[in-house]
Amino acid sequence: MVVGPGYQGKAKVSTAQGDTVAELDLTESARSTVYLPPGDYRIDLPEADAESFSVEPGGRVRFGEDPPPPVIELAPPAEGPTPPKASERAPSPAPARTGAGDLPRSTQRKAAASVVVPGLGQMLQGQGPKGAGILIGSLGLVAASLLSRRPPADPTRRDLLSEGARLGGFGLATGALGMLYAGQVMDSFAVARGRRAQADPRWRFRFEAQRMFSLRFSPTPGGVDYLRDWSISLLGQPAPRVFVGASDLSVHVDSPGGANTLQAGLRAGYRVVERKALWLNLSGGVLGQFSFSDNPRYGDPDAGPQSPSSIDASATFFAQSELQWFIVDRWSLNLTPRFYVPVGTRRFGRDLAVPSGAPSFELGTGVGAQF
Amino acid sequence: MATKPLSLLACVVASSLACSFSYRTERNFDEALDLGDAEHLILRAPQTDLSVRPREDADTALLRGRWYALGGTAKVAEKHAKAATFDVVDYDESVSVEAYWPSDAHGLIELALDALYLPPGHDFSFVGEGGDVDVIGIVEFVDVEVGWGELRVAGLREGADVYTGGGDIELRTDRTTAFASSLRAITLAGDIRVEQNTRGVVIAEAGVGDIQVRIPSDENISLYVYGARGVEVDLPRVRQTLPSGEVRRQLDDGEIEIWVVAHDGYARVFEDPDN
Repeated sequence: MVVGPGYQGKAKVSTAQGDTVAELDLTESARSTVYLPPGDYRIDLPEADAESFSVEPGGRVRFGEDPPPPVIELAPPAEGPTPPKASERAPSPAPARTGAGDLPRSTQRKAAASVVVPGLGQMLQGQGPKGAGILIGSLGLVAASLLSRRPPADPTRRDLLSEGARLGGFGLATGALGMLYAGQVMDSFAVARGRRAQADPRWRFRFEAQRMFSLRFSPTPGGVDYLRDWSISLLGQPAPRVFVGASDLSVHVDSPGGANTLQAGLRAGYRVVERKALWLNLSGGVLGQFSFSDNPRYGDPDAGPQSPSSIDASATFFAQSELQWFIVDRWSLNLTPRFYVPVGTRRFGRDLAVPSGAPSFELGTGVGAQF
Repeated sequence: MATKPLSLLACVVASSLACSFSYRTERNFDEALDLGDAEHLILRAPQTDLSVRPREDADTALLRGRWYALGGTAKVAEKHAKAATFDVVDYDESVSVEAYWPSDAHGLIELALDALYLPPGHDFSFVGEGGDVDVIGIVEFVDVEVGWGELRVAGLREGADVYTGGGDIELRTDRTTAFASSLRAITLAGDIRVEQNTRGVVIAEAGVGDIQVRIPSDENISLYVYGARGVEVDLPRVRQTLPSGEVRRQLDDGEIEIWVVAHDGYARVFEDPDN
């Protein structure tokens, strides 16, 4: 999308049926390019009459006049995704895309400041209150995470309820902190681009990094344990709204003498809600674990304690919803509540596990990128 | 569209249930350990507190406690609890006792040892992942190594060698013995208090924490005391106080080593006024 110098204000591109394809914030000194599949469209430019136009395959349409021409080029991308069928195009129009290279270098540097200090990018781009709020919120969540990390020194205060609240608070605070950090970095670049995100529903490949957390009751009465599972997922979209791929790729390590566990899963799902920046997916799958131990203490029960090593396998079946919030076009924050039942012991490392057949819920937070 | 708010509501409800639900069971045990001719009992256990007491008028040791286990069903939990046991190996001079459970139950079983009752005349070694250890009245040699936890050993005659990754240590030798007990105590984080009531060696080292050592006499000692946050030596022939640093002295032949190092703490060595 190229926004030529000379226009100031909002512009809107819509299909012939009236569905908005792109909303542009035009500035005097910036340019943008919008890529559209072939079809009939209409554009509303600031301080100008609405105009209808058609895009032919491989063709381009230009609006504007010299000098300097406020130009909007409309054409299908040379190596872009396959245009959707006409029936899909109206409800799911192709999104407007902004290349990062279109941003001036100084603007990129300002946006990237949020990577170093949460909220700084927003402050440098004229959104002081928002940036300050992000910074204060981040510091608050860091404090909450640190405070809830350690149990009280007085063991009489470690009852089931208070430990559950403490560890649950730790899981929520750290999850929120990670989401806030990733989200504010994305937001800083969204501010630099000057428009809201529009996720492309025709993505082909998606990468996700997430942390699942849950609590379990300890074997010892009155105790609560914190379970967490960091993992990555690699997914593809073979048909509209349908995705499938490898998920929950992870490694878990017990304390010295325990077991080391390799984890990998398969996940398939369907996108049930699709808004511009908010998607909801429902999916399910299975994750497998292989645990290796060379500690005789955890050996084969039939071979007895002198068994030199053991290998265990388990499968965990799960169903989950995934709420994806796109702050920039390709990047999203993900919130993933999951229900699972293991068949065999599911290990989490640090000598913690969930037994076979135990119905369990866990909450995932993370980021995703799709291409 | 009603689907969206309902889905979002479902997300919120499920989010509040980040919890695993399982069955729990416990199994009490009284494990009699036949020590035969062995003079040394070695016990290895996962995280648990432990008290060791003398068992008079008996030839066997007695280990008392309980196993806790989780399972997806009550039946599986009971199966795990029953599968947990102790592996006892007799090496003639020593008997090794080690907590043991099947690999598929790892992470689902915990052990709580109430007490080990040990007949007289046996040395005792304990290797544990963590927990407080309390050994009283075992007059033979005691050797304890735990990942974390407080250690208290009292009534020693033949000496002790104890280590904890984090926690206070208290060692006290038997006042009535004529033996020269050798005491060695190391903690990475915690205070150490040693009451050496015999003419024996003392080695005490704390990573972060203070050390206090009481000895019966300064005769024939080789003294080295270091404290990053202060040193105090209060013996009849050596009296010195430093804000930080070390004191090194050899008195008489210097045959009894008193070596005290507080890497990030205060070190004090003084004479036992009761002896």
